[in-house]
Amino acid sequence: MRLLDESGMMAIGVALMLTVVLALFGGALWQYSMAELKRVESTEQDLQALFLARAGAEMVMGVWMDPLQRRPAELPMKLDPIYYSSAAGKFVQTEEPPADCLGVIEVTVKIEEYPFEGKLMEATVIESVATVGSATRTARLMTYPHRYGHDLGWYSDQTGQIYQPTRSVPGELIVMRTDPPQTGIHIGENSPTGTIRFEARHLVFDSPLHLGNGSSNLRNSRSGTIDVALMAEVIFLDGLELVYLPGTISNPTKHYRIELGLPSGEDRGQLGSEIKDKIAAGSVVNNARYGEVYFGSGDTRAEYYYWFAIFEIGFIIHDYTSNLDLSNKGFYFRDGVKLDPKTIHAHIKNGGSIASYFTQLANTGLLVPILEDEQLNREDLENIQPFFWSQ
Amino acid sequence: MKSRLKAESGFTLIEVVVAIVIITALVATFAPLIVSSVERIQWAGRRTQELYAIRSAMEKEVAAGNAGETYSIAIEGQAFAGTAVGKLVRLEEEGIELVTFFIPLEF
Repeated sequence: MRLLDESGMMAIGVALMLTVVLALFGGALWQYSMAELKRVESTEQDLQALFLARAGAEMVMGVWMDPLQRRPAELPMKLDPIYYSSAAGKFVQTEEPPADCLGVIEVTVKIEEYPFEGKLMEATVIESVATVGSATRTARLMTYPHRYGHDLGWYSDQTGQIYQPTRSVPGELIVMRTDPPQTGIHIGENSPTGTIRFEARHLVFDSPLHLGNGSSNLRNSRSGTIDVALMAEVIFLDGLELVYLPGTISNPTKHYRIELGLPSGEDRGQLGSEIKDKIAAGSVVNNARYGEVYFGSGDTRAEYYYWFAIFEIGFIIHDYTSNLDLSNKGFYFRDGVKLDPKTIHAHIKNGGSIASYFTQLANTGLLVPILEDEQLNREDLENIQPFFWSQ
Repeated sequence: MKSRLKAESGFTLIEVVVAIVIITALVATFAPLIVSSVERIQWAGRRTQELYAIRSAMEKEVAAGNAGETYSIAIEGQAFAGTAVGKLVRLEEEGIELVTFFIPLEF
């Protein structure tokens, strides 16, 4: 006996097929929707981990960049884990994670080599790994070589001539170097007049700052009183030349001096009250702000010239050189102090000497010698490199 | 014409009713699964958009430089210790908490 005829079998077949199709479709849709849910959850955690990783890297950079903080002698260095407590709304460094922990940050500081201009450079890397749930994100901050003043177009590294009236990078250490390095950075025919300013966090001159750069350059260089303002918390100079050429009726004055100042912003440099125990002589003004200037082994001098005229044709004649005797010395400078060859000249004309001139500056709190133990060296500065995000 | 109509076979009323009942039962079985899956997919799409928006808001806060409360944190590690001072930015929107710390650029 047949329970179902042919069409009945077909109906069952169709019903089964429909069941299978619907089950497959429903199952696939369910799986896809669950995958989407997981993806969203993972994206949420990934986003949280990303910002936590960035926070960890910035925190360590903040400490690392502070020259007053203690740094480890050896790298790599792994910091204790940092947690973020959602209830307290703050980051904590505890042995165990807090109960309401959003995520954990683990930071390592290490040295990595990377090629730069044909050489292998060592870069400090702050690597911060944050974990939220199952998501992990890494943020890396890396140092890069110091920038040069000629990269910023302040002077030509080939000629040494200063071209730009002002450049400002108050967060960076800038190196001033010419090629060849003994070429003096100077005021030339195409230099700006008035005040020429360079502002950085720290300034290191690998090449001498010879403002006049010899009488042949002086003949065509800019006339008038020109202040080269170096605005930085710490300045390293390696050779300095100031110039004074008084003008005549038919020939211009050429009076080149430097001004030492602090970069713009609050709390730059140090208060006099903070450094009064670190000075070797003289005195400081307690509420005035000070930077540091160091003179390398290059000679420091003021050059004096005069005009000699024959039938209205002026010739520049070298008069004399004053050795400023600043080489291999370090000073605190009061914000805005000027080293002016004309003033030095007047001081000497009045019976003073270079030594008494600088003693006077120290006693009035303008340029105060630093105790030898308190002096910085260039290597200390070179460790204070800026960081950038490397990925 | 008449003979042709007679020759054609078709479904009886009972067969059609049974088919409708089966299809309805199948749809009724799978419909909640399908509907809830579609809703989840739609929600995931909206959530992704929200996450993009909240990320963008967070990036804007950080880029603003001075946004966020001034915050200092003591950091310790192997022979390394100090305090970092910067800004703490917290954003709690759409059921997600984002937190970061940054040191404002001085440029």
